[in-house]
Amino acid sequence: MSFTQSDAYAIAKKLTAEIKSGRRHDLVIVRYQGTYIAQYGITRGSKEKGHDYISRQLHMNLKQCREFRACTFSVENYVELLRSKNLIKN
Amino acid sequence: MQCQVNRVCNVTFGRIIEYRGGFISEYGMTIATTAIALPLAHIDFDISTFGPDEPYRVKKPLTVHVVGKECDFTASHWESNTHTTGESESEAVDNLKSLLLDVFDSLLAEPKETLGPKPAQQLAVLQEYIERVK
Repeated sequence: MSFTQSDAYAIAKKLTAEIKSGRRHDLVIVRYQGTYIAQYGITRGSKEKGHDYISRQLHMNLKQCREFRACTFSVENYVELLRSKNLIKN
Repeated sequence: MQCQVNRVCNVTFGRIIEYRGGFISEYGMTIATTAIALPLAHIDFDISTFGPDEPYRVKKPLTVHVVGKECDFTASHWESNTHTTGESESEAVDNLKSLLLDVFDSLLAEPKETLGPKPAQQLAVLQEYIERVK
């Protein structure tokens, strides 16, 4: 499975992320308790393009990101992952 | 003869110039076969300018890596963990240039105390390469 723009927007929605309109991309900004944790760009356009790199930008591996999209990896699991990597404070 | 394929690219001298989907002719099928047989391209580019309309200066060239084939290319600046796509190598690089500036603007606008460890690291990396000019 490859991530498309639709998947990238769905992940942003699940993360209740802020979406800023940039030059050619929509920039998704992920915060946890007000802290800027991660961001990724979604290419605007009608054609679906691969966005597999968003897993790296969200500090997940591809499997975790696929499970996050499929809802078998929850937001709570994601927060726990970030905590285990010392990317958020306890 | 008509063949249904999911993706097809027109190629000229081995370079992909156009993408379209749907029904294609027998002639198109030959072209599609050629496109699918193309190896995965790995190319490095140096970004040394963001263009005259952008109020940014490149302090030192940013080396970006482009990988892909057919009409699906991903451009990456690994040091700042910034990636995007394009339908050609050059479009992917142009898209990455614009995304790097979007990310830089976004990180610069954020108060330092609310930047997490990775975004703070990204900003430090980008500041080695890019500066805003007045």
